[in-house]
Amino acid sequence: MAEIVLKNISKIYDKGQRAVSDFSLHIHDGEFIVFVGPSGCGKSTTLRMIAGLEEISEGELWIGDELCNYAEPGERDLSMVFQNYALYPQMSVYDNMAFSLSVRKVPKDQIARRVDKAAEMLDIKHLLNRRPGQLSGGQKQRVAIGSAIMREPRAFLMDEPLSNLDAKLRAHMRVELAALHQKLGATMIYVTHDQTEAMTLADRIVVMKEGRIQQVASPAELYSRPTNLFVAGFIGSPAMNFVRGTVEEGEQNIVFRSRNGLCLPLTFDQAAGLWPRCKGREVVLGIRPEDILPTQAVNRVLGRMDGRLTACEGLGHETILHLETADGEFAARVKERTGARAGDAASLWVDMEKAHFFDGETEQNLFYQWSDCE
Amino acid sequence: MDMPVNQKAPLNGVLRRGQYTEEQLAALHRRMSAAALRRRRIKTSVLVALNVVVALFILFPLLYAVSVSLMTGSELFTMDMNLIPSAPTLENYLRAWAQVPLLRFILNSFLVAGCITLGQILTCSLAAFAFSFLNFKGKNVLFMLVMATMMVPGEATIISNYLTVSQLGILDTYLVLILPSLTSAMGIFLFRQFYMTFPISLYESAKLDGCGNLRFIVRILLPLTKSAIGAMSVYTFINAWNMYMWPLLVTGSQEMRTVQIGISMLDNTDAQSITLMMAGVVSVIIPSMIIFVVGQKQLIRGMFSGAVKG
Amino acid sequence: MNQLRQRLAEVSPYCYLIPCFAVFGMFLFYPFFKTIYLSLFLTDKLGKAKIFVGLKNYSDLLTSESFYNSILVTLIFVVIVVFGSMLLGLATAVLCSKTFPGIRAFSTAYALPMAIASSGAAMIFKVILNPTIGVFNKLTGLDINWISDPRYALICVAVLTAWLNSGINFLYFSAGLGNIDESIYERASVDGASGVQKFFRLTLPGLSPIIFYTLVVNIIQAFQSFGQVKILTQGGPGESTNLIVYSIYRDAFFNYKFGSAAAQSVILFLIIMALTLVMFKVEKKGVKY
Repeated sequence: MAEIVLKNISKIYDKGQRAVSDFSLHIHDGEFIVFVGPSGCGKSTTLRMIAGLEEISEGELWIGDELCNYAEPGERDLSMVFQNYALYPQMSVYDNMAFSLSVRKVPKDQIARRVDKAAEMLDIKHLLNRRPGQLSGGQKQRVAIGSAIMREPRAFLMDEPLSNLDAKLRAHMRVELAALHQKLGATMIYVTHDQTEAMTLADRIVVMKEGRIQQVASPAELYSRPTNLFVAGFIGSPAMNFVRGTVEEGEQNIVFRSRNGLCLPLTFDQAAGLWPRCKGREVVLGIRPEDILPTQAVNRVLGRMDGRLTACEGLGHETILHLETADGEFAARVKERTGARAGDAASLWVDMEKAHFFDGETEQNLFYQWSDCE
Repeated sequence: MDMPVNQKAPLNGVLRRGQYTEEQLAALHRRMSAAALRRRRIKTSVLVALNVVVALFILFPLLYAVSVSLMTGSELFTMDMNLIPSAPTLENYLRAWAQVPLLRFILNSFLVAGCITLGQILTCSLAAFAFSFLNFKGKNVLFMLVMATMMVPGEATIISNYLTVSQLGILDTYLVLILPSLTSAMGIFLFRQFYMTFPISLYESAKLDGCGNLRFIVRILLPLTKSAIGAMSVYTFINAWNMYMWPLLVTGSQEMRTVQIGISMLDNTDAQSITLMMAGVVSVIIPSMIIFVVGQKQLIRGMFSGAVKG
Repeated sequence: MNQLRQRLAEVSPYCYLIPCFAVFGMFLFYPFFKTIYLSLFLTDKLGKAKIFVGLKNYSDLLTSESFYNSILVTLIFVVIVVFGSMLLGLATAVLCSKTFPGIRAFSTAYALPMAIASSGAAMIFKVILNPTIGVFNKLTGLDINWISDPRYALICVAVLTAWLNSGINFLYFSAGLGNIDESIYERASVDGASGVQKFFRLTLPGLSPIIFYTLVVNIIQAFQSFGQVKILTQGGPGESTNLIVYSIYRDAFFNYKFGSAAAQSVILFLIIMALTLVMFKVEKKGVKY
């Protein structure tokens, strides 16, 4: 296992377009790190640069203290699991797994032993003689992971390995991957567009947008202290609700007033931090669905929202209420069974302590900024 | 900037992190990326060079034929190595066209190949339509029968076919050249593969709208099959243009000769005639080559879209 | 009225098959059986079956040295042609598998031989192989009369045919290469495989289905080579290039022995059928995934 350090890595194509800009990251030994972001944000490109499948235009890649910018993929001692599994179609499962060792002329008995161990770990011993064409999606995935384990590499790279599986299988494989990481203690670099996978699997998450790192943090930190509007809106499902408005002096205290008349009181700390700092500037308020309450709770600073319910999604253990107000639609997640129905007028209460505030222009979190320091 | 000796960057470029200076790193980057660029350039150049060599080798007979066709007879007959004519002349072409009714031959071949192509498109698309959109008894058996015809070699039938047409008295006509080739199992297969990619709802909704089969084929199906028709046309035309054995057997008169037989009339090892012969051959090869080059993309797309199987 | 309509509806699908089956019937099914029929007779000059001789035509053939020579010559020819043209097609397809500037032009060039008629190509080769002024002798400094030498004539015809078939093989193999999933090469890179290892363990196995298909097509086509023989060697010198097809042609149209020619046709057909069946059996055992 080894540390992997990326310093100012960039990928620039011939026409000058930048797929990845100034990517710096220190990956610790044994860490499970996830690159997440929307399509085209550069996460797969970065992973491929680490693997050696793409040339690094700028910056340095250090794997275990060796500069690997110019090393061949096969020399970097990494294993990769591809989105479409990339199993060799004409070889049996056994040969697929043995391939990376057989090209290095490892003796057959050693190969047999290692295949046995890996197959045991992934419960695919009964599939060793089959061809990839005879396997299901989940089985193929396990063979791909098994093949990656064989070489006991310095790190595992995974490019959206679960994307091609159905929802139930995906949930199951997520658990298996987490268990595998526990067992092997290996460094894993994982790419996905699904923030749920990121949140459940990662020790740390790298959120990317348009080729740049937005924030690197643990899932909890990312959830509670997003550094900008993009990260706040990307992490969490249903997504965070946003309202644009300004901070003003109300009758008794400082309030947040939206464009269409929503007036929400600020807590003492929020008022101190936003006034008079943001006087005259547009501010975006963000509130997560679970922080919008159906009833007035005591001991909390609450802001009131009135509107009409457009939908009530009953999920069994919770309900998602969609409230249409003058300021747009808000999603609220409530645990209680409300008698509310779509079309009813309703009022919901915003737990102001949990609100986030972002600058209307720069989109940065006004109370917390993540900085990229090593 | 003093550097202790033991901290010098190793030659293979593997540096230890934290034990380098900015300058060492920059120098390494410059050196390695230049090396990588050089390696890439060399790889490409070698690939291109190899391709040039092999392509020349493959095109050599054609290039040589063109070259000889532009030489004078006397120039050809030297002991020296002459690949390129020193004074290219079109004289051979003029003489070839004059000596042998090449124009007539070319027209014959165009007519025959054109009719065959049209005929095959018609018969094959009709049959393929039935096999893919309609249901009837014995559909599978009949289709297997069609496919089985691909396995029968020409020799098994050519003699009997000759006897048949000679008894019918249609030797030495356009009809006899066109008739036997009016359909092809491969064409039916190609069209059927293509039609199978259409949803059956296309046909069903037309039927619900009261559209008859023929109208469906002409108005809806054929316009959608353009690429398959394009591919088949190129392939069929070229094969019909290149037919040799059948025209050899069934035509005898000058007027009815097709190009391939016609130019073999120029076959002669006499000095003057070789350049003439090459001029004739080139004249006859050019139309098929042009059609191939122009229709190449269509041909490849049509023949290999999903039709490649083991 | 409804009964008529129903009848019409039942019959109409077959109407679409009439044009193609008419042609097949008249020029493929009928003559196929007629050939078998003719092979059991001695015929007159017009091809009319005159005297029923049963299997005598066959027994004559199977005891004639000339026929065995034809078979041997044809088999050698087919082996050389198939081997050569497939190797050439594979090489050119591999050369064009990764893009480089000008690849379009080269692809066209490699596929071009498929557009050339066998007779035209034969005439060109005649000039190239001309002992005195042909460029081949000039380049190699040899002084052999290629086409008139019984040792080399067959090889010449075979090389010519291999060249002609390399075009379509290039297209088949290019398509086969294109069907191979790119990502397995990337995985092999990360696994540490070299270029050579990738070729032999990924590319060739990946091509195996198309190799089989191409093999069948090539063999069937090689057995039907005619134009080249007629123009280059006319079956000679000394029967060294008397391929079965040419022998059939000669027997029928020069010796007017239609019955014997028909018998040869039947035997040729059986040989091809047997070969194809053997290959399918082998394929079933091998490539399976």
